[in-house]
Amino acid sequence: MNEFSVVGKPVLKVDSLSLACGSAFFTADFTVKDPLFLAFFYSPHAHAEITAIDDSPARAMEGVVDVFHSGNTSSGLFTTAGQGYPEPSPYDTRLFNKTVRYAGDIVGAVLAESDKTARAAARAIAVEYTLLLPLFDPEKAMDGDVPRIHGEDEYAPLPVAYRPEQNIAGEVLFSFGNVEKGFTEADFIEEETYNTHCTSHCAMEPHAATASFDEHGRLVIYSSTQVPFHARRIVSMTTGIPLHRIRVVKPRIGGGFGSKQEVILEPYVALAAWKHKRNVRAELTRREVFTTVRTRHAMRVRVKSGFKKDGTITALQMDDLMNTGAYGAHALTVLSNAASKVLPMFNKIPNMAFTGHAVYTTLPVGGAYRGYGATQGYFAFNQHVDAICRKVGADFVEYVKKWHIREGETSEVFRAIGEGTEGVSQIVRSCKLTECLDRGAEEIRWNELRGKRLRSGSVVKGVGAAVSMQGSGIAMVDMGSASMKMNDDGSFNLFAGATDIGTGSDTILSQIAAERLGISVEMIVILSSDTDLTPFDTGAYASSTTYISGQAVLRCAEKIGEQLLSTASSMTGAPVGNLSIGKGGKVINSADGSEIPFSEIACYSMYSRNQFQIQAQASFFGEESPPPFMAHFAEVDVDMETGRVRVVKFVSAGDCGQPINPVLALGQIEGATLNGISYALTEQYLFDAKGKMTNNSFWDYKIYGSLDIPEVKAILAESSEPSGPYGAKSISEIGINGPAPAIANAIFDAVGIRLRELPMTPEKVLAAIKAKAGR
Amino acid sequence: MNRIEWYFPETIDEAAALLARERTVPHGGGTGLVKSGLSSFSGVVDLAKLPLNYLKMEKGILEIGASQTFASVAENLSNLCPDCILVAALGSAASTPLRNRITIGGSVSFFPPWSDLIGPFSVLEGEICTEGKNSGTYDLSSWLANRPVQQGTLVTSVLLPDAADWDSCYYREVRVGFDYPAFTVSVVARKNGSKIEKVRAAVSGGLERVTRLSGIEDGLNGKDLSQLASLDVKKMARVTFGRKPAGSAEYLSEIAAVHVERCLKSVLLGGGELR
Amino acid sequence: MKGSFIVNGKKAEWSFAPDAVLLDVLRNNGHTEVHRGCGEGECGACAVILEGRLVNSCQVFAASAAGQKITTVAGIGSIHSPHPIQQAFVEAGAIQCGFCTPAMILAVFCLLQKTPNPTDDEIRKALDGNLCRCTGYVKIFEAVRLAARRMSSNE
Repeated sequence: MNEFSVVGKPVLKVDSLSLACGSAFFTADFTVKDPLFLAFFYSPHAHAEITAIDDSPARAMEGVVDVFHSGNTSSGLFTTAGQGYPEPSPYDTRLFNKTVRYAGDIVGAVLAESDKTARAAARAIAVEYTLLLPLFDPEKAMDGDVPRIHGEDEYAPLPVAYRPEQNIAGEVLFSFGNVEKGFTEADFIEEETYNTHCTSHCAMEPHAATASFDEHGRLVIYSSTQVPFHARRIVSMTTGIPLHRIRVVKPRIGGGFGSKQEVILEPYVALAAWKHKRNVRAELTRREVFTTVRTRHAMRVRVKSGFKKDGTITALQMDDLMNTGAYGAHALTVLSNAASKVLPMFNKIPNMAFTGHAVYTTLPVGGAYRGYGATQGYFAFNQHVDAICRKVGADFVEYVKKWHIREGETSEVFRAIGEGTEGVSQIVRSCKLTECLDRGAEEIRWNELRGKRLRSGSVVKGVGAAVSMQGSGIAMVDMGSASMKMNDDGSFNLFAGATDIGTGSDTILSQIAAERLGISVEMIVILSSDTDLTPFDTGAYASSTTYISGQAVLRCAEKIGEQLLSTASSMTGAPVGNLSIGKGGKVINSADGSEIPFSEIACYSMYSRNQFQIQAQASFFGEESPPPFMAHFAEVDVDMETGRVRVVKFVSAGDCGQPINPVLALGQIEGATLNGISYALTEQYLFDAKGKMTNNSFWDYKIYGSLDIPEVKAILAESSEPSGPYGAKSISEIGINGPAPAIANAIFDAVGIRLRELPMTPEKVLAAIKAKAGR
Repeated sequence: MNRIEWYFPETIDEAAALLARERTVPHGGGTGLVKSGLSSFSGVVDLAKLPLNYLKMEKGILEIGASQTFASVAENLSNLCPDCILVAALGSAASTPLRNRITIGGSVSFFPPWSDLIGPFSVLEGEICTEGKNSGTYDLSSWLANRPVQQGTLVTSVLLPDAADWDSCYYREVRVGFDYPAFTVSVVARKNGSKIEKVRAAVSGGLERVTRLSGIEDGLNGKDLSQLASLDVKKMARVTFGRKPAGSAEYLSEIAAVHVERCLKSVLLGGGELR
Repeated sequence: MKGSFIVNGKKAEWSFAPDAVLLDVLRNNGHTEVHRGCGEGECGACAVILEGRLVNSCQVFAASAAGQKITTVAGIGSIHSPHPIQQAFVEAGAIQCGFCTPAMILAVFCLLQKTPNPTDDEIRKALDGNLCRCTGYVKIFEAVRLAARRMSSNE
């Protein structure tokens, strides 16, 4: 084990005291002079053509400055997905579409002197629609006789399958071996269909953006974004404002989970501010966040496998149908992940085939959401594996230990599926999944509880497990960069493009820099995500920051280290070879043991001779995406009379390589776990017959709170990833993949029913219990 | 823009006089008026300064002033009468910050379908005291049947004539801990040895808002505890529901009956499997 | 209309609309430590202490709070002199995005005033109106226990 002094330590999160004391600023907290307020109006229909917009009642209202809509404002096609450019998502939307495609689609926006006026005026606008047939059933989306959701102009900027004429927003196909032959070699065939549902991220901070001007007339956008650099590019692209005239500043962000990887508000506030040369604010209500922002894509996953009596899988076939809703934001990448992050788990299956389609419907738009695609795929995969185990009499834990991918191994799937491109072949160089399974099983008392069906009155206990993997950034796509400069006292400013959305990446990146330079985190002053001040970074998504941006910071700090040594050498005349970085901010001369404090080096460089600034910059892009692994265990009590499932305990044991900060890593696991349990059991979008969401508030969209959390135990099974900074891999998403399947498997363990459709509400559980009993 | 005037009366007479005005609404401090908005009113009568923030038990009669919040009722009663079903019901309603605002008076005025007060109020056979235009004392059914009676009228307190010395059980059907209940079950009983002196049971949240399960009560009152086993409680406790986000009408009806049976067992036989 | 309030111990005289809620009035007057998460009383991000009681400031008419004492998280400690609860949240790793944190800390403040050594059930119940999507509450509960230990040993 490496001896670290800062990495691997529970360093206090650098922004936490300011958050605890309320001095930290979120987007909506910035005061700008005389702001105008932007409020949106939305389509009440699932699918309609706008034939006329009468904005005169709004314009007549005192305090209304302007109204924007398709009748007066045009933009090019683009995607709201904040991804690498060109994006793997289709260009299928405009700022103001003439055709609206879901109830909640943005029709226009009112600019007024107050938020209240803007909202009142937004309600006063009369829009005439010609109703079009809606399309709610993704299973029918590819049929010939259903409405086509997108027209002639939409296109995919990358050479990927995109067939709007069939309502196909994305397609992923691959196979190796011969699955049909594999099925004939099998003793058993297991084939089932699983359905996951759409849910909301529920980041506590609703989306907000403020556009203002600096003294030179440049546009400064404060935004609750996970992708400030993509936001700047997309704002420029959609509004025509030159990119160099735009600065995007990311303040503290109140959680994202993928929802703020969508560039929703920024173009509108930019457009309005630029036109009127006034500061403009927009802040969505929680209801607007539910209906208009993005959801986790609902997915139908059909899995079929053939296996022998000893459990050897001879062939596996997966067919996914993903509902991307009205627009294809992240459609292809989420769909890809449902295969590429799931199927490598059992890399010894000789015959495998995957077919995946993302289809348009006239429902709210899917988007990036923690776990993207893997969460959906693993719900099916883990139940499928549990079914195989029960058929052949194997223990799930032992079975997975036997078959999962290991260090030194690869999978065809890595090469086959990327995110909008071909995948990247990679060998797994760190995998402690077996240890995760063992430690998790012990913690949940697997052997004591499994199959025992302990009963207390009408309540029966069961345990279930699941495994998953994720990635660490998108190989060959994601890039992060950082720069550093040295100050007189031996401290450093660290400028990182990386976007801390509450995950703690500012802390982790500071730790990496501090570790390399042998100093404490207090001597690193970090500033992140400001398109004027920090270098580029693709943003906070795809579990990339620790691995990608962390590696950029490490490289940058290495360069600083070299400059420190060479400067110390000029100062003292000692050859560089004798010098090394010591602990506590000094360079040590091994010849005589003398020490040169960083502060003296800094002052020498700035004030003495051949003056220069000790500074460096570095970038990193991942040539691979090393997967973190996790074993998830649920202990549940199922009430046979009411169908109520209570999660008693949940264990998530993960391998994220070397945790840079164990407290933050555990926090990521715990948060993802609770989100996953809530996703599995209660969260859901309810729609009326016309496709309108009927539960767009926390009143009826229930998420788990303090009264609901079971005993949660997060465990870190440390490994060291050779390609990661100090051996680190990612941790932020993976924890959400396990709860739904582990709970489903635990329910089966308790009462012998399979819940193949999320969420597993008491009513569904009770119906399944009754169906099994033949009542 | 609608002009809205706020009034802060210090006496009940003053408040009642203000409420007699047109488009004037009382505000106890809870959330009902915040949710509905003030746009249809020209006057708001804030009740906070009225001497209605009290809770007292005299001669077995519990009187709760209209300005008591759910939190303060639960708190005060937990000292005075800790087994009272109102402690469990009001102490678990909504959330901590909401319990600190929702008042008895406001709750009685609205009695929403998700009320945590109405079930216990029904089994404790409470009465509503009012002042102003329609001053008087109302039992629950006449109160619910005659909503216009509230016009120009101020709820001053509720009377629970026989609130103490019951064994009780309260169940609320919620999706997560902080939720409004799809239904509630309230059961109170008095036993003497193995004899059931009196039992009362109610289900709220169904189509009739609150349903007293008189069939079950009649079948058990004055009987031996063993009588419980011979009743088909799950059938007798069937209440008709409408569809709710928490589940279908059939499902809610079915599990409400399950919980009625559990509450009865818990109260009459003790212990049980409740959580 | 106009109203005076005692905010974090200081008298403030603010004007606001008759139907304005306390959350908006506080935020419009610079108290941006009070956050809006839903505006409907369901997330708790806007919670403040009003006359000693935790309330959702989005569910309180400013008019009805006039003349009363309001405490926001800035009133119990500052970055220069944090309250032990604030410090405990930092040390326990109970803060991720931090959007729910100020209100969460006030909920804990109210709890510990009444119940210096709360049980786990009492902690859960005291926080039942404060949603957090980041942490899963594990470290928030730890922070509460840590703060309780420290505060009761100091007294």
